[in-house]
Amino acid sequence: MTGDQHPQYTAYEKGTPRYYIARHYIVMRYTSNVKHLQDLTPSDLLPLTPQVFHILVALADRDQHGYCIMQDVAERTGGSMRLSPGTLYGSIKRMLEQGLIVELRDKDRPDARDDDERRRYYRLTPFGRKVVKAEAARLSEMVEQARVYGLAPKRG
Amino acid sequence: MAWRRSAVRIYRALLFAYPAEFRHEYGSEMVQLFEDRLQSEPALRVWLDTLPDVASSALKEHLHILAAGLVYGARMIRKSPAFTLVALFAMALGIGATTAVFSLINAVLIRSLPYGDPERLVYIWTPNPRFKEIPLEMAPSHPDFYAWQNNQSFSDLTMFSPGSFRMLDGGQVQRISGAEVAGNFFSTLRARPLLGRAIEPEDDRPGHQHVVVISDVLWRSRFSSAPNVLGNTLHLNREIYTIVGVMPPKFRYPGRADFPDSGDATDLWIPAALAPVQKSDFNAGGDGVTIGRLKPGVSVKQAQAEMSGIEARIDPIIHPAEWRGWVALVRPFIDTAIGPVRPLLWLLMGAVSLVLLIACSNVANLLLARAAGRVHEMGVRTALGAERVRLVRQMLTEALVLALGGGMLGILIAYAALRVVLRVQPGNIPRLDETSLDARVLLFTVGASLLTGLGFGLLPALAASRVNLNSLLKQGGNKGVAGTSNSLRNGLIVTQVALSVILLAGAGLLIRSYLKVQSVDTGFAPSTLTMNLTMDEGYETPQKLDHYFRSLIGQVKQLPGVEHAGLVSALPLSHRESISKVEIKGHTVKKDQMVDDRAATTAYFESMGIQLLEGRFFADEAPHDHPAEMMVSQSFAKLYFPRETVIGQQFRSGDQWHTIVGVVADVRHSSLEESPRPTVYSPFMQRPDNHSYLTVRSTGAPDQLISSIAKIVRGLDPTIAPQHPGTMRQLMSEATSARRFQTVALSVFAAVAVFLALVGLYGLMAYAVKQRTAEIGIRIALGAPAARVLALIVGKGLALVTAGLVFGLAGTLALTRLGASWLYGVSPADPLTLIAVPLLILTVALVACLIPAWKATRIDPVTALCYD
Repeated sequence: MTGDQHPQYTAYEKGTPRYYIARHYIVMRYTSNVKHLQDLTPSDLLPLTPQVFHILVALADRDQHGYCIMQDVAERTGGSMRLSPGTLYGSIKRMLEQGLIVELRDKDRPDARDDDERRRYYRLTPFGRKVVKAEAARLSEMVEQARVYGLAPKRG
Repeated sequence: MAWRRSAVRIYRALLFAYPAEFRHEYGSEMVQLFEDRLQSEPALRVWLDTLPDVASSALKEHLHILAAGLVYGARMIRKSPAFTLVALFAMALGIGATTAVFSLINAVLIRSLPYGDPERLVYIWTPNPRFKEIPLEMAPSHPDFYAWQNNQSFSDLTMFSPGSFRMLDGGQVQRISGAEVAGNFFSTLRARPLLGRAIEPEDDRPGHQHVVVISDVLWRSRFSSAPNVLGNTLHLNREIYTIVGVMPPKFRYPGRADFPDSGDATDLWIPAALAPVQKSDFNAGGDGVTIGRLKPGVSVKQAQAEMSGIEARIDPIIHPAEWRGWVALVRPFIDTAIGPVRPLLWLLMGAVSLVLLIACSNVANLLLARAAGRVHEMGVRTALGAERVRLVRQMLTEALVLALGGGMLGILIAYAALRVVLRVQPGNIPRLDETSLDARVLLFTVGASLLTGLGFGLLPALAASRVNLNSLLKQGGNKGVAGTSNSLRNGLIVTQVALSVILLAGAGLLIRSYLKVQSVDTGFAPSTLTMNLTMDEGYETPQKLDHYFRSLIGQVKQLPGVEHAGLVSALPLSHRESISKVEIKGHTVKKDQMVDDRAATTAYFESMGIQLLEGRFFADEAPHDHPAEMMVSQSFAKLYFPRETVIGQQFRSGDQWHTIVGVVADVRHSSLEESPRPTVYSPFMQRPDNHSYLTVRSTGAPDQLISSIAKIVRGLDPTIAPQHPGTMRQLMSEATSARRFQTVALSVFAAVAVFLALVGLYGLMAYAVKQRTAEIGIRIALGAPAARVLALIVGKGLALVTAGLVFGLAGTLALTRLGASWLYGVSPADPLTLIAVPLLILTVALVACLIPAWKATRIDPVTALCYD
């Protein structure tokens, strides 16, 4: 690599010394800044937006890519919620930042059969699972309260 | 399919609405998703979903970045309070000064006048090129005005005569500014009353004129805003007028500085109701300021052409032979009011722009210095995959936070500055008292803050984000960006010094001019007490005036401490002028030679301290058939009798011959800066004037004297109220107020500029010392004496300052030549100023460099070598 080139894409290939130098800086300088993310509890993130809730539900039983998530959500809501690309990836970006989901690395991708190389797959994290559970509990608690006053259908 | 491909292409283009970072991360996925939907759903529906989605989610992504940037920026700002304070302070000064000046401009130039379509209003003046003493803005005579009625240019043509009225209010006499107006005055201005009606054409007839419209101020002060004021009466000049209307607060036309020599803001309007003889006979006297409203589509030029034609045709018909030669001059309404102050506002705006520029470059420099310290951070963020756009954006967000913070503080500074300006009373600025920080000014401040934030943020942001990661990681030190931005920082300091030199030199020249005006030989003593006395009805004959003045002077002279008590028809600096033609015996008459003429008592010269240079004073009590004695001023003597003796010469003014018995010193009359004009004085008691000035020289305190004299005046005739009592010093102060204001304003701006430039220089030198700590440490370790180290740092600083001085002086010479009309008695290349300013800047710059340099000599080599 020559010094003139912008090195950002090659400088931190795993296994090279620069990767470790960069990581050293990260650990030294940024741990204090990211600490607050580790301290997040599920209730800090509630209530979730409907979009985020549905995406989390869609990822509950299997890892999916964007288009599948969109289809899944559309099916479950009877077509009433259609995630457009901007909303979907905007939500995904935020959920990645909050640690609710992770993007799969190559070795973790599903079987080659239904794998599509170009697509990115997402997986629910244990923290994400806690959050969606907490949100579901919060919602059913609200429905329960409404039911007491006959504002929601009786449990069938 | 083709349509699908083009749909995808369109969507790809739409993705540019998103932040680059987001687009790079998810763009291809989003396009993929969009394509998938196109295959399974109707295209129209996909588009209907997608378009609003792009709009809302793109905005959301931008806001997220902004919010993150703000949080991050706030943290960085909190981490370096010294930097933040200095930057905020510089911005607050720069934006505060700009806001203050803009609010002046807003009040004077931008905010609309309380008339409809003021840009279609024009004044029509009648100068007379034959007589150079007649001002351009000469109000037309009534016959001129009525001869103009048949024209094609104006939809309305109206006139008014400003004047002062004596109002009787519960036994007390008060003088109030008012105007006698034509019936269509209010309809021409399209000004509507707050209550009742305006003056209408039916009122403008002799016998119907006893109606009055009052201002909001008079309504409040005299009638405590009573809603049933209509129908009440006012005693004005011994006649009774019925109030028919009240104008809204903003309407005080004509007010101060609406046109040259206009008086105070107007408080009442009555119909002019001219008699037929006044309308047709030039010799009957009387004139009125004339306003025309241009018809739609008629330009000022076209109106001027038509009016010139009309005036040329009527001039020989309505004017007596010796006074012919009048021409019509059409001038836009707004230009007339604003024209005289426009250069001042330009000067202020120019000066304040330089201050803002210095403040900006100062903050840019601070940001550059800090950016150099943030190489690590930028490097790591780049290593983590942050794009350059994002880094630039981050730095810009921080700059904008600073700028907006500075802007908010700036509003406070502007508020304080405006209070001071209103107290200083800068003289001739129209509608100054309406200056305020309104919504438009605040909007301007926000805009200016954002713009300056961009201005000073962009350069450092670009410089800082240009991280060479490779060399950064190799060296692991601070040197990643030092090389490139140092020259930038040096350039900024040179610019700051250069701009400060220009401002300081400008202020210096104005200060020198102001001092010159202050020390000008006025010809009179500043301590003389003066006041104006105006008589109306009951004093038509000279005998009555004579009697009144004799008793007045007799009583005033009895007051303790009074040495001299004189009378004059027109006092210096009172804005009252009087001129007449003269013809000198034994000399050929130069074309239309005119002189200033005054009627004065001998005690006037003694009380004003005007020196007798030759001959003697005239006799106050000369009998009426005696060949009249007169006195002349020194400049009269020099102009007409350069080689002869003046005493005993005869000249004619009007139809009487006079003999010159004495020559007195020149007096500055119209302004302190205009050189004295030839003046003749005749004995006051031979032709007493019903608008006169009492001048008193005494050893007592002025305040006490004023109330004693007022008591005498009331005792003689309770309907006469003395006006504008005060010393000549007060009139001088008023006459110099405009110059004082511009001098003070520019000096303040220059002081701020120099201060900011010094802070910038200090910051740069301190930073340079920090950067070279290791090098200096080695030099000291190798035995370099302290003086060498000191010289090293100071030399670098002074080199920058010297470069700035050179550019600044060049700029000064170029700019001050343009502003030569601002100066009085000082050349634009005044050597004293051009030497003093660089010396002053060099001296203070030396101090700013010495502190960091001294710190450099204290560097401990051992610590220094461990430093990096």
